[in-house]
Amino acid sequence: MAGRFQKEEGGGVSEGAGLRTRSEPAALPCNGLASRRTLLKASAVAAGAALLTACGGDGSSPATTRPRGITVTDQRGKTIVFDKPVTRAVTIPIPAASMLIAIDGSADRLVGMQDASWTAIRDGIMGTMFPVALKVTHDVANEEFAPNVESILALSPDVVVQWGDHGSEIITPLENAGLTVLGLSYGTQADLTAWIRLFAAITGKPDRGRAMLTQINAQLRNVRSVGSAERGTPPKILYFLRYADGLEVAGTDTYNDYYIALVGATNPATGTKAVQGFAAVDVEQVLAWDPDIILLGNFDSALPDDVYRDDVWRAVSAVRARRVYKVPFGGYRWDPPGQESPLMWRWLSDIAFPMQSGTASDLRARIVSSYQFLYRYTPTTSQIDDILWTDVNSGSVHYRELFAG
Amino acid sequence: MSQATSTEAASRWSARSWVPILATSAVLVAAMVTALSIGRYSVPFSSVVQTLGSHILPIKAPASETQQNVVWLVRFPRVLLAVLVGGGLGVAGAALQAIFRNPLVSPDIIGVSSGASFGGALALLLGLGSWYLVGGAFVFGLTALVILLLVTLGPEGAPMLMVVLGGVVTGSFFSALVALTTYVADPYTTLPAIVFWLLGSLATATFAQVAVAVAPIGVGTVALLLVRWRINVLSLGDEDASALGVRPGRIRWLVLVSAALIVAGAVAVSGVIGWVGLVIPHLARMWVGPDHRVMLPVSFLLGAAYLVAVDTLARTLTAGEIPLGVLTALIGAPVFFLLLRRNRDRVWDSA
Repeated sequence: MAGRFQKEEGGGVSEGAGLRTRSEPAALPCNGLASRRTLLKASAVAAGAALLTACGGDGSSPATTRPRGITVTDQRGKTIVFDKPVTRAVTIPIPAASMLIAIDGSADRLVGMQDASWTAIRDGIMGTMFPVALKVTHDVANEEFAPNVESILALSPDVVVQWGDHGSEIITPLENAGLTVLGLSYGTQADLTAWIRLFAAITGKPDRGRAMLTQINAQLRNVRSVGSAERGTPPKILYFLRYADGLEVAGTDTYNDYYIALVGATNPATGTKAVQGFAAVDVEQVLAWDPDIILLGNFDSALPDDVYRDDVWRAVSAVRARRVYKVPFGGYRWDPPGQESPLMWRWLSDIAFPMQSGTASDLRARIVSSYQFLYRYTPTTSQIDDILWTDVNSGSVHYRELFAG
Repeated sequence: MSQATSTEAASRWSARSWVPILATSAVLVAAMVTALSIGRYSVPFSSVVQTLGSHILPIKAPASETQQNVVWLVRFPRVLLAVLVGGGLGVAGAALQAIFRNPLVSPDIIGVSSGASFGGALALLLGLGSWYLVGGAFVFGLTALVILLLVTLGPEGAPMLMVVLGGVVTGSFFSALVALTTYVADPYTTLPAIVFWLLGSLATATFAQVAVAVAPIGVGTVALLLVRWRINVLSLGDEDASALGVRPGRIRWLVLVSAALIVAGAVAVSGVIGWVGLVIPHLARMWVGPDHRVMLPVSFLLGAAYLVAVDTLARTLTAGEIPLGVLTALIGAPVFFLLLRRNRDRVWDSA
């Protein structure tokens, strides 16, 4: 029957959505680190710092300029040697394309990508910043991430970036065809750090990777200090992965929960009535949680007005106080981990603790400087408005004052 | 069943025949009241009563606005939708099993579920609104039925085997189209929405959806109940039915179209919820016997009560919502297994 068959397919894909934390041990690009579970328990600053020290200290940096080439260990624990920095890369995980472009600062090395990566680039600002990316081949894998080996071979890539934790069926055909596969996992701050290190290494730009990580760690400390300086009860923030066709919220072991805690707020979906991962919930459960702030994600088309207009939601604190916000969408969605995650933390911190007496946030200036660093591009005022969803969020409290252009 | 027992059954229609119908009605009302009273947001029973009262009588409920909204805008439409979908699937399954004279037939067998799934999935793929979702499910559910008609209808009417085979063919074709829809869907945005909807859920219930579901399910159910005596005759077989002056072809198509209407309406508002149309008619038949004058209304009421109860479990057991289609299958399959084990010899003829 169609329904049952589709359900199984969907199970595979929601794994593919890959925003969840996976707790199995994973090898990070440097040796001598404990499992990722341990990393998660440590603070992300510590994790980031540990990676830097561990890799920098013993001189076994994955990215070296040694004549022997570049040696990296991917997140499957497999060691891969490249003779020289890769010039032709194919990416299959959806966020990998824009991440590779950001870390390289150009789209020139990207010769093939997943179709969904391509549509995300086309629909967001990425396509404007890197029009050349829109010409890249994007039929290299199906929506289940199963590679089309022959189309990939035709591109003669130096490396194929693929999920390392979605089973061997999507990797083995590539390796059997003699291709070099970089296997990745996704969903945590530690994964984000690992991606930056790996991509910086294989593109021969380890210094740029280190610079990005230094900035990220500085932002982590900065955002955390804002939250800890706040007195009073922290706001309850609930993130909706889906709102329009059935509610789905972010519970424990999600990156959304990670940054809600990071800015010093609390996630009611991880309190006493916790849900695991992204969970479908009944609207009554949301009423019982009574969040102070509601975040609407970029994985469906719901807008704050949809929530404000619904009678059922009228009693929710976030609706009464008009604190329902659509999460920004820059070079990639800000919901999951990515190169622009520090901007997401800053945005969320501003939303959670709006400064008194109408003081504007410096987020716009930060977006400009980040984009100049990541993409060598200066976004215009209206582009920043688009990234921040200024029009659809303008009906929510503080938004215009905070992020005025 | 012989003609003699049928006549005997007809003569048994009396005040006693109302007993199972009234009893199941009471069960349904109890299930609805319970469902309205419990949920993740706690509302005292008195507030539930006051809220319901205030919408029927011109009195002002002292319950808080949130409590009233929870009871009236969240739970009430959901319970009504469960009644319509569960009852509709129950009565459609019972009627189909009778005219196919096959106890393993369910609404899925005639391909309408698959057709409706495709219509809904297509609407979700194209990012159209909820009215298109409902409309798409409806249009393609009926399209599946028309294809079935074209495949099977000949000058001599549609032979039973051809209807079953035609249903399988139509169902497979639309299943393939659903698979194609998910193949081209964006794995991050539209695909999860399609999968969520196909899984079967009443979580998005509103009065608007109830209004949409009530027309096809209501018309289909009333039509089936009106011909329930003829369904009895039809279940004897075509020759006997013809001899008794019933035109089997016409009645059969009336039943098929009614069932298609019901299933299309149910799938449109709640996705594919399996097992109700298979298990409920069996339960009803084992309890009240094969007389469809009693068994069809009991199937509706029992199906409605069953889905109200299961949906209440789905939304209250855990903080996260359990997919309804999964729960109906988890409960339905073992229950069906036990029923079959216990009644191996009298599942069909002499229940």
